[in-house]
Order: sequence, then structure tokens, then C-alpha cells
Amino acid sequence: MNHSKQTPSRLAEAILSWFCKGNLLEEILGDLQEYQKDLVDKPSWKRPILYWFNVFQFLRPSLAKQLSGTKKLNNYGMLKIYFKSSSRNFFKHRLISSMSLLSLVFGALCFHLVYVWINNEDEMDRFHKNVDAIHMSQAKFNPQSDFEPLSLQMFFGMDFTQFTHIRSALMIHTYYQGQIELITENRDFNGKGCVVDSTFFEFFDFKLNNGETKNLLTNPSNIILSHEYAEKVFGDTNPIGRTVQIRCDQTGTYQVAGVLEKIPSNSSISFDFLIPRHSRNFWAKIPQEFILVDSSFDPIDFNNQIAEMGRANSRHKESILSSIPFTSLYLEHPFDLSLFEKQGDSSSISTMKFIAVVILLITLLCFTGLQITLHLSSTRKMGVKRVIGATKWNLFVEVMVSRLHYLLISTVMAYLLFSWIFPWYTSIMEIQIDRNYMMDLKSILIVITSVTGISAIFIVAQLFKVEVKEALTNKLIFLQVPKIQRLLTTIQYSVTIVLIVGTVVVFSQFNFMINKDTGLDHERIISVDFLDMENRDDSEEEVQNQQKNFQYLVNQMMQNPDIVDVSQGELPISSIASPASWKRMGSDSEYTSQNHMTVDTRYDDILGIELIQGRFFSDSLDRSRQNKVVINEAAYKYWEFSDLKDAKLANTHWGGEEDPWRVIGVVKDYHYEHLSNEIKPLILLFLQDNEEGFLVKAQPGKVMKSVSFLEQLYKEVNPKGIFEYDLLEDKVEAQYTKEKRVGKVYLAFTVVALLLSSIGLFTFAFHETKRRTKEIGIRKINGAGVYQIFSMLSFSFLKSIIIAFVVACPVSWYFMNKWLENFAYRADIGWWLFVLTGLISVLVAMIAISWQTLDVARKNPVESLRYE
Amino acid sequence: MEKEYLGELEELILLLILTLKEEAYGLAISKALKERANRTVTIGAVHGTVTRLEKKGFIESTLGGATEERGGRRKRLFTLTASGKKVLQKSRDVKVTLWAQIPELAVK
Repeated sequence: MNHSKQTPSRLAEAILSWFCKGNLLEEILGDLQEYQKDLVDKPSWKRPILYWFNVFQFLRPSLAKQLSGTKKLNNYGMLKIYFKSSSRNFFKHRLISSMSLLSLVFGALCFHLVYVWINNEDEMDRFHKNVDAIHMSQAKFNPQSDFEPLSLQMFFGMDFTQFTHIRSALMIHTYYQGQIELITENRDFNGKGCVVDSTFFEFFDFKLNNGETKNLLTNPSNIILSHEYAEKVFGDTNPIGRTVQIRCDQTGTYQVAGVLEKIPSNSSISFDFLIPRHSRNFWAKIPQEFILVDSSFDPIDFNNQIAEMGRANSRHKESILSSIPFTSLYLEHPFDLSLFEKQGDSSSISTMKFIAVVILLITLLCFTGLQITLHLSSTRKMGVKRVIGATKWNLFVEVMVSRLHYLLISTVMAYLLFSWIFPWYTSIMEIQIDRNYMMDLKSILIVITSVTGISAIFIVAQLFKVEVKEALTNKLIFLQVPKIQRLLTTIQYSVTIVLIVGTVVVFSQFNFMINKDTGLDHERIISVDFLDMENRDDSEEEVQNQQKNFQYLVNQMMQNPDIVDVSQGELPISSIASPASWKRMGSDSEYTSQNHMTVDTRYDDILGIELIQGRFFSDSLDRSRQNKVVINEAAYKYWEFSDLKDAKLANTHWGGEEDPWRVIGVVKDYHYEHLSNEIKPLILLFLQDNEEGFLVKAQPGKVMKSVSFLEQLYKEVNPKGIFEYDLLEDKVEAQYTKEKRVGKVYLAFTVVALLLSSIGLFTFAFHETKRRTKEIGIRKINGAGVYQIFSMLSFSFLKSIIIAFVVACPVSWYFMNKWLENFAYRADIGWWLFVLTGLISVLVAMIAISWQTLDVARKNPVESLRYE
Repeated sequence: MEKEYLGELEELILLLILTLKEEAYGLAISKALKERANRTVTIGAVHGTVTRLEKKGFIESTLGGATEERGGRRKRLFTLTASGKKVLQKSRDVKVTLWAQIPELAVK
């Protein structure tokens, strides 16, 4: 026998002495030691396992030491009692408690959902260390036009080294999906590629999976992949060192030199791979240019300095050069650049902030109301405690402990719910947000703590105000519950009604915009560019070749039975009309910047544009580049033409006043820009150009067939190119996808707000009816019927809703009118809207209260009189 | 007393305390459970149950019988109280009555 095995483990005894009750300890340790002796029959490897298993089996609550202090009335013991009494209270008032918990959880959840989004917007691009020092170049060729994101080095021969404040410059050519292909092992991958200078990583702090980004782009045969793209292309295998082919307007072989970490969700820039710009001499895509400046850089001063530097070149005599801070690009998005995946919207940020505040307010009101109800129902208990000898301080601690209870439970619930709902939320909103677990927990905790904390202040104030005598008589309950609750419910409902009206207005506005007539017959229009390869040279041979191709294309398309008509012209709605300086001949007015678009003779037929006066361009009467224009109604009104006899326009670029353009027709207004814009004057020019894109109208039901026909045709003409097309219907549809999405979010939050308010009202009704049970019994005995009692009670609740409605209507009307001013075409805020809102809120309120009121109204008066 | 009913393990332990007479202490009960009822129950679980039974007032305990193999520590010896005996009796009666109501043939 091995004696050492039989001495009881010191550790086990120490654990048990610490844990187990003193009076049981002796026998426990004794039993254990005896047991150890019995274990000698077992195999030796099993002994410690069995022994320790038995030791741990002693660690059970019934054998545990009582927490010291329960016997004496010290603070710890009291705390335990408080916890017990607060959980008992919870179960005693199950309804109100779970409603409070629910409101807290939902409030915190919704607030945090909004907050996560706002935070992501606020943090946009902040992970680049130098983000505030990055500026983008922009320029315009004449003072009337808008700024364009042009490279100053490329177009104006700017030399940035002459400026001491500029540390470096960067050019980025962005090839988006469909314009560039990455080929490896005979498989083609689409992707978004950026061709960048080697200074890229001085500007933007994207991190490499492993290693340093420094010097990675100096080797012209290197390529850097994003994390997701590397996974997509190479799967689980290591991509480093693999060779890939790139095909766009250039082709080349590259070697994967690095893989970046996942691009954070708060990056407005996104790409699948980066290619060193100096690996080829020429890239066809127009680049964007960024400059990195030092801390003493003054943007205003710099812009003044460079403004006229481009005029040295005789071709750009009117040009203005400038720069714009990189950080302003996200929210103001003056340019539609494919480099940026995301665009912010300052108006929806402020709306979301407003919603967050409203939700928080409603949660606070709801929770406070519920807690006050709960507290008042236990004033008598508090009074008794005071009589026995509890100080106000003791009661305060008790309130705080019950708050702590709510805080812990609701934080856990809200956090779990958030984790569950988050993926769904981001997919509905079509946003990308990286989760930050600690931040989520922290922010939920802060919201819940502040709500419970503020509501505790009310209760504590009540606590310190109330005298023992008052607390013990029932006077308090009868007097104070309705007043406070009525007030809170009214405020809650007013805020909710404002939100409902807001949502209804937002929806009717969106609906109005979506269903608004574009003025065009936009069905079945396919837009396709055949001859738009930007790197085509201008050689004689090439031009002839193009002419031949053009004729061939037109013939082929016209012969296809699936195609109704073909026109060459700019696609309305999506393409941006070009501005130029125009003025009416024979008037004193100045030149003003107006939009023009180029069309051909069939443009009006294919798009169903209606003619009001004069005629459209026709093959028999007009030829390309004659000085004739067709204008729209807005332009006709703008220049105050009365008839077309002597209607002429002059353009600064094309001939000026010596060679004016004759107006031959006026077309009805149609939307040629974004649908939310007001229709501005438009001048249609007949400029035939072989390179111009085609608009093709397909036969009904033959759209996809026509598209595949066009693709074949495209391959014939451009064997190397990548076929792209647009459908006008899609473009029209896509105009409001964001609005629809935002609408969904507003709706969801409004429903939550309404629910929270209903919870408040429901509990208010619950208590009020309870309080009046006896009164109702007496009324019934005196002859009141169910209906009378029901309507009496209902009206007493509906009163606060009516007051809320009266308060909320003008407020919401004011705010929504302000909001609608953002739109050129507005839906009316009709009276029906307020009636609808009123009906919704009354209906929901009735559902919330009738449960209680009907119950009480139908009660046997004998029961209600006995009720105490 | 709030709860008069007995759990299965509780009942077994009460019965074993009766059968073990003078030697009814934690480890002995645990061993007896293994031998006579073929149940493996740790000493800790036995202690938990007897503590509960004592709280309910079915058993009482005295300290005694310190032996060397226990490191000189005393055992806690259990005996049934009157209410403990009563509750066992009651539990048996219930079962006997129920069994009596089943015709012999119905159970095989």
C-alpha cells in the first residue's frame, strides 16, 4: 500500500473548508478521507479522478457556507434582501415589470441600431491617418460649367513639386466591374481594379495581411489583391507569388505581391486589386488625382494660387483649377466616381439622429411612467418599512437595486437581440457595417443606464417627498397616479403622432415621386455603346473603318425583327446633360448656362417625346451640325418666346451672335435628369457622331433577345471589348432605391415607437381601471350598463390621445413642410393624412385599453365591490 | 411543513438510514446505495440530500464514532425522526394501495 496516496489532498481540504458549512465540515472531511482509503482497489490512474470528482460534488448550494452577515443586519445582508424583494416585486407585478423590461430592451435596441449606422457614417475614412491632409484636384474648362475631377498634371501640365506644402501626389484610374478582367489558369474574373501610383499607401492606410505595404507598388510587375478577392480567385491556396493576367484597354502579366486585410466598412473607397500605374505608359480611363499636404497647407490660399494656372495652355483659356478636401467627398459627393463605393447623405443622417432621439425619449417616458406606477403601488409597503425603522437612505438603495436588476437583464436581452437582428438589419438597409462587440455592449449599457438612472431620479424624488403618514393612507395612489401618467402618456403620444405623420408624409412623397410620369415612353429602351473605345487613335484608316462599322451596325439592327427602332442620342435620366452658355437673340439678356443634349432625327419617336410647336429634326429637312435646335417647354418659357418665327439662340462656343441657332420646334417637358430635379430648360442639338451610343427600342417581350443579339453584334465589331448595356426602365427604377430603403427603416422605427407608446397607455389603463374598480361597481349597481361604462372609461383615456393629437398636428405639419421643401415636386400634405394618423393612433390605443376596460365593464358588481 | 412529499433518492436514503441503524453516516449510505440499490451516488450528493432531509425535519443527527482511518474526525450519525417515519409510512401506504388496485394479471 502506498501511504503517500492516502494522505488527503491539502488543496481539496482547503477548498472544502472554504466552501462548506463549518458544522458539516468535520464529517465531510472525515467521509472523504475514508473514501480515499476505499479507492485502493481501483486502478491508480482512476483514483485521483474519482477522488476529485467526489470533492467537487461537495460544492453544492445546500452545503455551502451561509454568506456571512445574514444573521446580523449589515449592508451585505440587506443588499441580498433587496435583490430578493426586487425580484419578488417583479413577479408580483408581472405585467408592468415585463412591459418595462420590454420597453427598455426595444428602446435600447432601436437606439443602438440607429447609432451603429450614424457612427459608421461619422467614422467614414477616419482610419486613414492622413485623411484630413488629402485633397482631390478638380477643374472646369469654362466658368459656367461645373467642376470636374480632372488630373491637373495630365490636362494642364501642373507641376506639384513647386508647392512646398504638397508632400506627394497620386493618380488613380478606376476600372469598375466589367471593364477589367483578371485571368489566372484560364479562368476569367471580373472585379474592380485601381491603377495607382506607388504613393498610394502614403495616402491611404489599408493594411496588408502580413508584411509592409512600403515599396510594394514600386515593382511594376506586382499586383495587390484585397482579402475577399484573393479568396474568390485563389480559394484557400496561398496567392502570394502567383501570376495573373490583367485585361482591360491594356494587357499585362503581374505577380501577386500582397493581400490586404478586409477593407473596413467605414472606407468609402473600395477595390478588388491594385496595379502599379507605371507598369504601362497609358491607361485609357480618366484618372482622379489626389495630393497629400502638410499641416501648414491653406486650401483657400492654394485654390486662389492655382486657379488660373491652366490658362497658359491656349486650349484652356477660361479654365479654373481647384482642389477639394477628400473628407468632403463622401457626404457632399459632388462627383459620381466609381472609385467610391459608398455615398453618404447628410439629410438622412440628420433624420436618423432625430429618430434616435425620439426613440430614446419615448423609451424614457414609457419606462418612467411604468416605474412610477409600479412604485406608487408599493408606497404602502415603503411606509410600513419606514415605520419599522428603515431610513430614506435604505429605501433609496432598494430602489437603486431594483434598477440594477432591470439594467442587467435588459442589457443582456438587448445585446442578444441585437446580435440576432444585426445581419438582417444591414441587409435591409443595404449597408456594410463591421461589428464591434465591445462598442455594442458599451453603448447599449450606456443607453439603458441613463434611462433607468433618469427614471430613478423621479422615483427617488417622490420617495424623499412623501411623508410616512401619506404613504400609509391610500390617498397618494388615488391622487397621483393618473396625473403623472396622463401627462407622460400625452407627451409620448404627441411625439409618436409627429413620427407617424412624418412617416406617412415621407411615404406619400416617395410614392408620388416613384409614380410620377417621366414624360417619356421609357419601356423597352436599351442603351448600348458600340464604338466607344477610348483609346482608339484618329488615323484615317481607323475613321474609315468606323464609318464602315457604323453603317453595318445600323443595317444589322434595323433588319432585326425584334427591334422596333434605333436612334443615336444620349440616354435621358442617367446621363448628365452638358452645360453651355446660351442666350436669346434680340434681347438684352446675358448669356446663361443651360443644358444641351445631342440627338438624332428618330430620338423623339423612340422615346415618345411629344411635340408642342414646330417640328422635330427630320432626315429630309435637316442635316447634322446645322445651326438648328429643338428646345423644351421650360426653355420656351425661360426665354419668353411667343412664337417660333424669329426664335433664335446664340452660343458662345459655336459662332456666338454672328451665327445664331434657329429654334425649329418645342417639345413637351420630360425628365432628362434625376427625377427629383425640377425640369430645367433643355436644348436638343442634332449632332450625328458615329461614336455616340445607340438607343434601341425592342418589341414587347423581346428585350432580352434583343440584348443578346446586340451582344453578338458587339463582339463582331469589338472582339476584345467587354459588352455593356443599360435598360432605361432599370435606370428609372434605380432612381429611388435609396428612398425606398430609407422608407422601410422609417416605417420600422415608427412601428416601434407606436408600440412603446401603446405599452405605456396599456399600463396606464391597467392601473386606472384597477383603481376605479370599486367606483365602477357602484355605478353598475346604480344602473349603468356595460356600454356606458366602457365608453366612459375609453373616453377618459382617449382624452389624452386627443390632446396629444391636437398638439402634434401643427408641429408635424410645420416640420414636414420644411422637409418637403427639399424636393422640386412635392406631394401635398392633405387633411386625409392627419385623419389617417388620428385613426391609426386611436385604433391602436383602443386595442391597448379595451382589454382592460371591457374586462372591468363586464365584471359582476358584487366582485368589484368586494375588491380590495 | 411546506412539502411533505419525498423524492426517490430521499426515500431510498431514509430507508437505508433505517437499515444501517447505528452506522448511518454519509459514506456508509453512499456505499449502501451502491451495494443494495445498485446506484452510484457521490458522497457529496448524499450529503446534499441528508442536509435537505434534516431541514425538512425527517432525520436528526448526532456526532460520534471518530476513527483513525477518518483522521480522527467524527461521523455524523443519522436517525429518523417521528415525522420521518410517518412520511415513509405514508409513501408506502400510497404505493400499496395503488398496487392493490391493479389486478394481478395486468402486470407481468
